[in-house]
Amino acid sequence: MKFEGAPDIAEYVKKEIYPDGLEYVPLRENRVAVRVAPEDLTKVAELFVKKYEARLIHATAVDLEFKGFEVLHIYDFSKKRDRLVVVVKALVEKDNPEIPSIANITWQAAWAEKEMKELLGINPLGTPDPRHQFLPYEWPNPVESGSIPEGNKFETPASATQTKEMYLPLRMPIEEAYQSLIPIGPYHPGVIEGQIVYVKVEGEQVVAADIKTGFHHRGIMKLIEQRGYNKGAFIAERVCGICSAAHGLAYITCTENLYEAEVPDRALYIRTLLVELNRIHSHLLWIGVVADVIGWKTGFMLTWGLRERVMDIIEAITGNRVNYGIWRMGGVSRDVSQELAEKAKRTVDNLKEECAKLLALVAEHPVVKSRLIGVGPLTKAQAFDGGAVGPVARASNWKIDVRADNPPHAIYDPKIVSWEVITDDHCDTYGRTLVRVKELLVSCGIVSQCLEYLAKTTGEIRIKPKSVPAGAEAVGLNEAPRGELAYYIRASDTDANLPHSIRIRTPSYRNNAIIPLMLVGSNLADVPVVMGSTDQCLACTDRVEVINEKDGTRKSLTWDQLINLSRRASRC
Amino acid sequence: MGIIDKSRIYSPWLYHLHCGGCNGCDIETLAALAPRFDVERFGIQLVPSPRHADILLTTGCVPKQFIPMVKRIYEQVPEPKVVVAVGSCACGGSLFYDDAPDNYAILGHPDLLIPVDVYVPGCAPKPEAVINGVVQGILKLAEKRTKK
Repeated sequence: MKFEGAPDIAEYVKKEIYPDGLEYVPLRENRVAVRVAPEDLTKVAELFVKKYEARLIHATAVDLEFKGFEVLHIYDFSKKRDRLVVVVKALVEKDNPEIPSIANITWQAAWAEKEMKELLGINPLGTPDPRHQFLPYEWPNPVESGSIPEGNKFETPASATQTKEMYLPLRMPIEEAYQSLIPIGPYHPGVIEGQIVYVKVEGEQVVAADIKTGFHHRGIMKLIEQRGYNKGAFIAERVCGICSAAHGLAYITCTENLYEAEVPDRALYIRTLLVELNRIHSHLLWIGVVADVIGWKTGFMLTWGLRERVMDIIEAITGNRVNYGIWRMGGVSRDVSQELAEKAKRTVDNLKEECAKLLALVAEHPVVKSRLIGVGPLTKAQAFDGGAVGPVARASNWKIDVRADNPPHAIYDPKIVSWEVITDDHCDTYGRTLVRVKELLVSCGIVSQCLEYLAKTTGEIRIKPKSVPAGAEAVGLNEAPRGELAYYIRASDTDANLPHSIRIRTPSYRNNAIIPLMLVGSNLADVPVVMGSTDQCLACTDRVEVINEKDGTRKSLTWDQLINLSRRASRC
Repeated sequence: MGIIDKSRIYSPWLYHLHCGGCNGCDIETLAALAPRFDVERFGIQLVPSPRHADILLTTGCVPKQFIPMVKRIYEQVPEPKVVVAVGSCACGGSLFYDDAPDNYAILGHPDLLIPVDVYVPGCAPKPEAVINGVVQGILKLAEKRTKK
């Protein structure tokens, strides 16, 4: 299968979306790069987000040596036109690089801008939260010293430019001494990975929350830039060990978009098969973890028992349980034999029945219902503003799925494989659970159709890739178990084997951002559940930092306020 | 070796220290607790606090921000203690460190920071390998207790 974009796509963007660009370059697969002046970035963001309801996928920048820095804002227009992604570019000079911050327009850009500032030194003017993202708050002082420079402290006073209350940093003036600030992490039994969540509680209720992550920053993007496209596939898998197949596919989709790629059908089926098996095991793992957190140990044992069956199939196909190492440009490296496909199909069909039973069990289980309904609420509007992706967004009744909107290089065509996007209108953790359990069934269906094809046919699994043209650019998207995963690669001008730069935006980067929003108003005991409900994967993310505080004004006394007053009285 | 020491060796408690792994080794470690491998039948249990643990199980290549916490958690584990490094990253830095020791973000491997007793190689090691590593750790623990 060849992957082509519409020939008129650059013209379309110029005519229909943004006529004032300096240059329009069509990239492969309906991606268009639009060059604008740096001062126009805010105008463009306003137009795209407010008028066209486009979604900012990522904001980043690349270093073009003597030419300066190229700032990139990647927008998703797939709701407007099939698979359309617009990359807005602006060149800024190297000495004293500054760009206008768009964080006040679409607040997810706040992290991306901080990331830009730390990786490349580009200063976003008017950013609401100037604190560090990857770097420790102590930087440039040593971490051991524990001395945090001014401007990075949690007590940072609100700056004049703040417009959204979600940016207000946590601070604890003396008149609020009836509240307590509870640090969760960096090592906490509720969460395996390292992160610090500060929750401010009044009695049992969370009134404000703040997250600092960035502990896991391992410099993976730099590693891929040093080692080239082929080794990059193995490094990309190791961004996250749980959704390794999703990372492999997103990386390969991106690299294949750099040149005129052709991939044999059988390879596409094998890719789909693996990504969906990966999704099944990841969702089962998530259900197990949440069941463990809410005290439903049976659920943990049940789902992790089912998960081992999926791991067996994956191991039989690829030889590995965690990192598969089969991703290649132009195909895959291992074939699935017909006997194996038939055998695996029987297991998957059996698994599907078990998953259907699990759905009935989870949906009606009294423990699940009592601990999850109404916990961690997130409305559709909040999900859009915050930039939720994946099951979190779908549980808020927002139908986004990269597999349907902007498919990766695998088989997701509804004409070939029948599947559907699952949404739910519960808008809480219970909804997120239901979405994931139902997605298990959908994924089992896709896997079984792929295995059916693989059992009947034979064919080649890899076509030798052509060389990558100098200076090519590409965006690769994929739906990881946690949500949309985006890769951006720019090829080197001189070396055909090395990428000039690569940027990764993982789903947890987005979903973790919303955690403080969901935490506010919940009980302290529900904090691990809400944190778990986004299926956070910090090995991927490692960039989060958000602040949230509620306004204290009130007019009349309600029952809740009376309770609050009594809490204060008993506390002081 | 007294009765308390002896019983401790028969039910070693683990603390899982995640320092910058990709989650691959961590899910394999957890899978060892799940029904198929079920290490709890040997008395091995994951505990939420390092102060309760006998064995410290580390994964990952130790990003620089983790350095103070790793040191502190190691100090919190009561003596005698055993450190089991699970996965290629924890054994030698894997692809993050092997031929790029100048990686700006990571230290390399926990061995540069705390004494490691048992290495479990593999990316990621299978649950069987993790269990084997822990068993080796228990033997070392028994040795240390006898010396004490």
